[in-house]
Order: sequence, then structure tokens, then C-alpha cells
Amino acid sequence: MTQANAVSTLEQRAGALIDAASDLKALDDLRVSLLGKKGELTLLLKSLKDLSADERRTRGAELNALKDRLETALQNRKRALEDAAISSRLESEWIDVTLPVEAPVFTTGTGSLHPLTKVQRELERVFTGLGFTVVDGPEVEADYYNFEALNIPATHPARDMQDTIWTVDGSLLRTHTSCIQARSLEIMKPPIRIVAPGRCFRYERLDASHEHTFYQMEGMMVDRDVTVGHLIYFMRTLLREIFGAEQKIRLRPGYFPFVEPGFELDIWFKDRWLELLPCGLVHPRVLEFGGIDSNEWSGFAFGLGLSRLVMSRYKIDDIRHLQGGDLRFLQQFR
Amino acid sequence: MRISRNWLGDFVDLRDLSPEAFSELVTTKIAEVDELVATEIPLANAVVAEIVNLAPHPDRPNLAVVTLTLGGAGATVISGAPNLRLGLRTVYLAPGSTVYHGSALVPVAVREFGGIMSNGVIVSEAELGLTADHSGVMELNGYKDATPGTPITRLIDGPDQVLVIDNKSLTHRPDLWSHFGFARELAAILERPLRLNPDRFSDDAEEGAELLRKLGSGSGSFTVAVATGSGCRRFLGLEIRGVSIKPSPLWLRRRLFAMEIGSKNTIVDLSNYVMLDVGQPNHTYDADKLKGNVLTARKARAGERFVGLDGVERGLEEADVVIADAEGPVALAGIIGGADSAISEQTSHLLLESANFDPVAVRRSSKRHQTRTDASNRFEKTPSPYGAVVGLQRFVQLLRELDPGAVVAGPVSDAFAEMPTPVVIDTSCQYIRARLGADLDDAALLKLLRGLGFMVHAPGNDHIAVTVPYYRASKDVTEPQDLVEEVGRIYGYERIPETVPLIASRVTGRDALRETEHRFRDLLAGCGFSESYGYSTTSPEWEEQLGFSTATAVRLENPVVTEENVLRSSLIPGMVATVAHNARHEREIALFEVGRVYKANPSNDPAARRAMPCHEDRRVVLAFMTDKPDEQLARELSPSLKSGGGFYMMTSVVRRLARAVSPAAVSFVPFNALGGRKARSVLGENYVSAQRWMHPFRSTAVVLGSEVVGVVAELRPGLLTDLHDRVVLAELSLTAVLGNSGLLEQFAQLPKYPDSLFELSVVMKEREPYINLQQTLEGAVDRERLRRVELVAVYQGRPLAEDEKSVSVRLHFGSDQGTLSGAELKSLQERVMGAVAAKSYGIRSR
Repeated sequence: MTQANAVSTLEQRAGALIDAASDLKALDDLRVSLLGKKGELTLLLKSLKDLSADERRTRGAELNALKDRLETALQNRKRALEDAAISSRLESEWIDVTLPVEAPVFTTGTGSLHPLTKVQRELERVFTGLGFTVVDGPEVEADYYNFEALNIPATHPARDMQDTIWTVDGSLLRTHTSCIQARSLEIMKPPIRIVAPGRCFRYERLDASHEHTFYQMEGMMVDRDVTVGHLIYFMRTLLREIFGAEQKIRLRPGYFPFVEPGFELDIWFKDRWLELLPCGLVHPRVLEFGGIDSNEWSGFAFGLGLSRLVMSRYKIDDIRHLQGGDLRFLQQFR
Repeated sequence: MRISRNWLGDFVDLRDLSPEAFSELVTTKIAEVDELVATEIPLANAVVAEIVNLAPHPDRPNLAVVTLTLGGAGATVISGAPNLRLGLRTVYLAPGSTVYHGSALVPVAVREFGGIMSNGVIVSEAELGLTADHSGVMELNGYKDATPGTPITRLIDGPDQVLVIDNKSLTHRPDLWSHFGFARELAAILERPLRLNPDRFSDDAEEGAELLRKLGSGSGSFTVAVATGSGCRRFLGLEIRGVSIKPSPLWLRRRLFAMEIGSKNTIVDLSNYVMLDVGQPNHTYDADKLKGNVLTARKARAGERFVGLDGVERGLEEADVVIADAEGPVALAGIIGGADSAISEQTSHLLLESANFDPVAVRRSSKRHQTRTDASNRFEKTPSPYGAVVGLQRFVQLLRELDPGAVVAGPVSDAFAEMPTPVVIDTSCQYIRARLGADLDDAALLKLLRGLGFMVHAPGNDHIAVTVPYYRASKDVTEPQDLVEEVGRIYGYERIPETVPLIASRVTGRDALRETEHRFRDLLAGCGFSESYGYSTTSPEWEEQLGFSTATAVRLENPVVTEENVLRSSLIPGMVATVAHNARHEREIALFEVGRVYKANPSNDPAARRAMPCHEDRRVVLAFMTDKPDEQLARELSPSLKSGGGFYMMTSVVRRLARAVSPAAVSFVPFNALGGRKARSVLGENYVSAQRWMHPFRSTAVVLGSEVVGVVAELRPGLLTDLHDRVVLAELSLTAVLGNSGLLEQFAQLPKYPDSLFELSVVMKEREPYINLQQTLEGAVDRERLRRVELVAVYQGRPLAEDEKSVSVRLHFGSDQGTLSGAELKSLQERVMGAVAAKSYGIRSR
């Protein structure tokens, strides 16, 4: 028999044997008989030394390729047998899922609410009490609501302020909850008082103080003769309610195309100022985008940094804890 | 943006402010300071020294023994500087002083070099922290007051403080992109005069032309032009001859160093300096390398190519604005100059460009060519075209100081394509006061505005006409509310009293979905579960590994983490990862999350896509894991249960959740028995068949009413090698649950007559689900009569066959009309028994 024939016959025979191996033991025996120290293929490889250098090269390459193919086939069969073993074990674990068992709860933990939930609820309570309706908006947003309707046209340099994550179909992950301002203005009639807590996204590398996923709470009031003094009242009230005491704050100019004037409230946290509450009077163009007459109505808006508020409220020094899912962190917030 | 306090000092006196007060003032009135960089400059003991003797070191070939005079005293130091020579005046520091070694200050000590003592040091600019230049010791021969012994502080500015301000904070203020801009603002806030005001020009056309006429001289032939519609608003050109290219003086290099800009030569440095000084970007061409004698601002022609100063060749498009000579583009307008006409060592003949371009065109081109420069950054903020004059004047003025040989060699060529119209805002003091809610009288309010350069005409009746200064009028201040901001920030927001608004009392709106979320959270925390928040982004490989299809997932164009390029289509995968994380240190895990999942919106209708860019569904996911054996948990639940303890606890919790918001019956139906029951479209296929992540024999759909609203399943054992204990998971769609909820319309009368109980033990195949029996029983008799079917126990073992089980149930028969008669009961029981027999279940006698 020629060498070539020997190889192809061996491959056919081995393939059939591998497919026929019915358990892991049989499969392993087969592996030894083929590829073990005295295995058929191993012996063929050894016999190469009697050939000329040229022949050795071509024959060797063929045999090694066959060896690779057999190893793969053995491996695949092994995985299939293992899967079958697991499946039959799983089958033995059948339970009647329809059984109407009324189980007493036997978790031993106390159970806890995420700190973001706790603070968000507290804020919802405060603002509902002050006559604000809690509303929602989509997390995947249209460019129009995230930018255009907030007075940030496509060519505006302020787009650079918000490092945006885009979807392949041209939408974006909202960079702020301010989109809900724009959506609410479209569907509500003034006077309007809303707050909107929610998840926001920015293109930002993760470290102790930066997250690509964070939380804000938008607030907006549209009425007749709304002033900066009113805005300051609501902001100070919310801080008093969350912290239970007056906080050291400062107000400074800040630029956001959808408010004018725009300013920021910073809070003193861990020996430095933390940007917490960008805010201002709603820009008349934003009101007009929502179909509201800016000569008749004015308003204020703020975008509370909910993640930051939670961090300063509980003195959390690393923002990564918030989405880290670690029970040792979570269970502290009962 | 970096702002040097010493540099501001050219324009306005700030000496009385501490560094902190200075920084705080800028933050609270102008723009937030990110960082205050106060670089220590060890000049206290530094004096001028002159080299009076210079000898090679006897043993060390690279060092010299330098004898210095310090005026009265002298000193000997060892130095290896390459520029040592007799008569050189340089800077000496005695032992005990400090110098920079890299970025650290180190003490100067008396040191021995091969038996010779070095008594102090002579230093480079880098060693004093002045610039990055470490090529040799400082050269002071050019300073006329640099006599030996003179303290260096008399020759150069002392320590500086640099404010670092995020460019994003200045997006809206084109006037603040320079030292002069900040100084002008600070002078207004502090009510101080400007010492130096480079802002000399007139926006009156004739007067302006006269000023420019005076600036030009000679009869050069270069002119500039603006093609119609080119996007160039103004183009000023000026020819200069007799320029010598040489290193810049220390003061100039030092200021550029503080701005983190390297020094090249007088002309390049001056060009940068003028931009940082007055905010006007400018460009210098080697005039001898330009073809023809006209530079034109025009749109690029398709196919034109251009090599910038950075050596990068760019293919241009018609949307690009270029400056072109007779042969083609020599600059990408407002962004970067060309390599071919760049200043070189041999340049002596310049053409200076000071221009203004359409901000949108500059922004688009700089994005398209990925070339953001200090110039493009400024132009895209819409600076005033009048600034071009200020920049040109300042360049000429400073060039005369730096290079007395340079001469203006032609008239200023001015192509003023788009002259801005003055901005006058009609408003009233009362409007401004009312928006702020501040108690500020007219006089104080107008003084604030005038201090900022606004011209106010007050014809009476509380009406004011405010003319905006040119540097604020290009974009920033155009409407009354912009003036509210000006007054607010200078007056101080902190001085505005908090005011409780008088508003109509109204009931706030409700949101059932939000209320349900909160209800579920409370219930789950009450059941001992802890709430976690997961990420919306995930990797498709991870979802697919668990058997989720990512075909309809929302894909991200620019994910933060490259692999995590889709939005989650279920809360399960993230929760599994969270469980795996906690399994490393917890023996029991009970977690939940309330969050959103996402599915692409395939619609091509722009309005539909705008209203709903993707389908978002609210979900709740639960996970439970314990290291207690499953069988033990089962026994703790009920003696008749052999296994599935974790699973049954999870179904119990899910049942509680559903019952909390829905009156509809909740049942658990194996996927293969779902029949016609469909999941809502928001749930998708993951809810109607067993998925790869599920234990195939311990998984079920959650059916509320007749709709699939969720799943409960054990995680398939062996799927994740780092999880050894059983994990039970559940996911519910809040939207779907809520779709089957409703308020209680009317209470049910309490039963007037007691139920009659009938217990029955049915023998069925071990793997036949209980629900089949329940349905059989419920279908056998009228629901008016059979009020409840109650599971009592499940038994397996002798004398039953191995594949059999006995299920004991208790039937509650009753009626609203009266107690059921014996005959009626008997007939009901017979019908039940008949139905059981018809299903070929056995009946076990009790």
C-alpha cells in the first residue's frame, strides 16, 4: 500500500471510530491508540526517519496536518459527550415548574435599595410636595431633543462640551436629562412644573471620578414672571432636604446654550468644590421650539447631578461603586 | 486655555490680590478655573555674575573652572555649559539656594569635582524654571542693567501663576480667548483702569480706514482679496521687509513656555504671542515664496491638494476655505498655514495675514481634516472681524520692539467682505431686575453694564437702548436675557435672595410605571433582595454566549469600551455577571435591578424615529444564589419537595410581585406547553422558548392572564465555570405586567356559607406538570361552585411505581346561594372524579 493510501485509510477509519465512541473512556482509549506513544499515527511519524530529506518534508507535513485534524475531531467528540453527560444530568434534575408552592422567603440578607434610588425618591418626594410632576423620557434619544431643540444646532461648538455616544442608526445615548425639557414643552401647556430623574451617558473613560453612565435629575418650571430668585429657592430647598442642613455652596457663571442666564451651583465636598447643579432661566428659543410664547411665559431649569449628590450625601469617594454591583457596598443602604 | 497672571499685569494691576483670591474672582465672575498652577521660581538669591576667568578642569575634560565676579565678592564654580566665555554675564546662585533638576527643586551645595570645590552654580533657564531651555547657562549680556551683583528679580518678572480654564467653559465668549480679554473683564469687575489698551481702532468706516492708512508705509505691491461667498469675513494683509530670523528674548520665550508653547524664532513666536495677547489668530507667509502678488480667500476647488505646516497633505473639498496665491492654496483658512510658504531661517520678507472667517466653515473643515489648532479653536467661537485690526496693530507694534530692522513695506490691504451691523438691544432696567429677582436700582444696574463696555442710552420711561461693544456683539450678546446674565454674574448670583414663588396649587401628575417600579423595589427589598444598577452597554459576545440574539440590538457607533458595542437586550446577562462578581466573597446572593432594555427601531420614518429612537422596555431582574444544598432548601419549603428550593422561592417572589399590581391570575407554564400564549412584542423571542442560559428542566414562562410577561429559570449548570452554586434568575417586563393590571372595581362579597372541602389524591406520571391536573379539575365543574383548588402535598415512593407521583389536592366547593346539599356535593365530586379518570390519572384512596 502506498503511503498516501495509508494516510487516507487511517483518516477514514479513525473518523468512524471517533464518531462511534460512546463514552469518554472509549474516546480516550481511542486517542491513545491513535496519538499515544505507540499510537498508529505516532509510529507512522517515527517511520519518516528512514525516508530521504525531501520525502521526509512532504510526508511529515501531511502526517502532521492529519494529526491536527484528528486532535480536533477528538476534542469535538469529547465536548459533545460532555454536553450529553450534562444534559442527561440536567434531565435528572427535572422539577415541576408549575407547582404552586407558596414559599416563605428565606433570604437571610436584610435587603436594600440602591443609594441612587434612595436619593432619587427623596427628591421625588420633595418636588412632588412642591407641585412638580415626575416625568420620564427615552434614554436613547434623537439628536433633535438632545441638541437641536435645546438651542444647540449641528454646527454649535457646545456640541464638543458633551462627548456623545452615538448609535449606528444616527440616534444617541442622551447626554443629559435636559431632553425631557424639550419633550415636555412639546406636550404640556404652561404653567409647567416637572422633574425628571434619569440615566445619562457620556463618552468618558472610567476612573474614580468619571463614569460613562451617570444620573441626573432635570427640573423645570414655566410660569409667568419666573425669576432667578425662585430658582435659588428651589435649589436651596432641595439641598436642605437631602442633607438636613445648610451646605456650603457657591454660585458662578456657567454656559449652557439652553439657559440664559446660566450659572452653576457648586457644593463644598472633601475639601474642594464639586459641580452639582447647572441651571438658569430657560432660553426663550427653547420655549419657542416647544411652541410656547416666550413673551408670555418664562421659566427656570436645572440639571442636578444625581450621582454627585449621592456621592456627597454618603461621602462615596469612588463613582465606580455606584454601578459596581458589589453587595458589600449595596447592603449598606437599607 | 492658560492665563498668566504676570501677563495680565501688562494690562491691569492685580498685585494686591492673593493667588487664591485672584483665582476665585475669575471663577465666580467669569469662568471656572480648573487649576491654579503656581510654579515656584527660585530667584530669591539669584544675582548677575560675570565670568572673569575661565580655565579647563585639570582632570575632567568636559568641565571648566569658572571664576565669577558678583560685583563686590567673587566665586568659583565648576560648569560644563557649552556657552562659557570670558565676559559672559549669567546667573549665579550661592550654596543654600535651590534649582530645578527636572521638575523637582533641589538644594545647591558646595560640591567637589576632582579636588576642586564648586562654590555655588551658574544656571540655565530650565534650572530656574523659566523655560525648557537647558542648552547652556543664561545669557544676560543683552540686558543693560545686568551689572554683576544685581538681583535677577530686577531684570525679569518674579514667580507667576497660571490659571488653567477648560476651553469648554469659554465656548460662548470669543472675547475671552486672550490675556487682554480677561484683563478687560477684570478691569471692569474691579473697577480699575486698563494700563495698556491695544484695542485702538474705529468701527466707523472712514475713521477705521484712516487708522489703517497710518499703519501702512512704503509702496509694496501685495494685495489681498476675498472671493464672494468664500466664508472670509475680513482679510487684512501687510507686507514687511528687513526681518531677521533669530531667537526670541527671554521674556517672550518665558511667556510662551507658561502657555506650554515651544519657542522657534522671533516671527513664529510673535505670531503666537499676538494671538494669546489679544486673541486674534494671524499668519505670516514668506512673501518671497508666494506666487504672484495677490492673496485671495476663496473656496477650495475640488481636487486641490494642500500640504500644511505639519507636513500632512490634505485633499480639499469645495466646502473648505483657503488662502490662495497665483498657483494654489497656501493656507487652509483659519486653521493651518502651508509648508511651501512657511517662515525659514532665510526669511526676510513677510506677508502678514490678520483675517476673520465664517465659524461654521472653519469648524467643519477642521473636523473634516482632523486639524484642530489654536486658530481654528478661536475662529469657531465667532470672534469679531474688528479684532483683525487689533491683531495687526499689535503685531506691528511688538515687531518694532523685537526687531528694529523690520520695516512695514506697503499699505495695509483690507478686504472687508462682511461688515457687522452694530447690535443695539432695547430693554428696560425693570425687565432685567424682574428676571433676576434682585433688588438692584437703575443707577447701579447701568453702572455694571457700562463698566463692561456697553453703551447705554436711557431716553426715559424705563426704556433703555444698549449698544453692545464690538467684541461681545459677534454672537455672545444679542438679546435682553443676555444682559440679564451680564448683570447677574457681575452683581453676583449669591446676592440674589431666595424667593418662594406664588403659584397656583395643582395636583401633580401620576405615572403608573414609576409607581410600579417603586412598589417592586420596596417589595423586593422587603424580601431580602438588594438593588444594584447595571450598565446599559454590553458586549454582543456575552449576550450571545447566554443565548440572547443580538440581531435587533441597538449598536453603538463609538462605544467607550470597544467590545461593549451594543445596548443590553435583557437584564439577565448583566445580572449574571454581577452574581459571578459577588460569588467570590458572598455565600448568599439576592439581587435585583429595575432598568431598561433596548431594541432597535427599524422604522425609516424620520418623525417616528425622532419620537422613539429605539424601543425601550422597563424590566426587573432578580437573582438568587446560595451555597446551601438545593435539596435542603426544598425540604425547608415543604416536606413533599425533593429539590428545586431556590427555584420555588423565586416563583413565589415573582407571584408576589405580579399580585401586587395585577388582579389577573399568575401561572408558571413550561415553554413547551405555552401553546398559543404569546409574549408581548416588547419581550421578544427570549420569553417564548428556553434559552441557552437556562436549565432546560428548570425554566418557565411567567404568564399573567393569558400573556407571557417574564421568565424564571435556573442558570444552566456548567455554563459558567466560576459559578459552582445554583443561581436562579427571573426577569419580568414591567410594561407587560402593567398591561395586565387594573384597579379593583368592586369588592367581592364575603362568603355567607361555608365551603365544603373535598380532598383527593391523584396518581400521575412523575413528569406531568401539576398545572395539567389543576386545569382538569377547574374545567370539570362550574367555577361558581369550585372556588379554589389547593395543593396539599406531592408524594413519590412506595407503593407507587418509580415514574409515578401522587398529588394531593383540596377542592373548595361552595355557593353564594346556600350550603351545598349532599346530593349536589356528590354530583360535583363525581364530575371531578370523572374528569380525572378521563385523563387516565389514577385515584389513590385515602
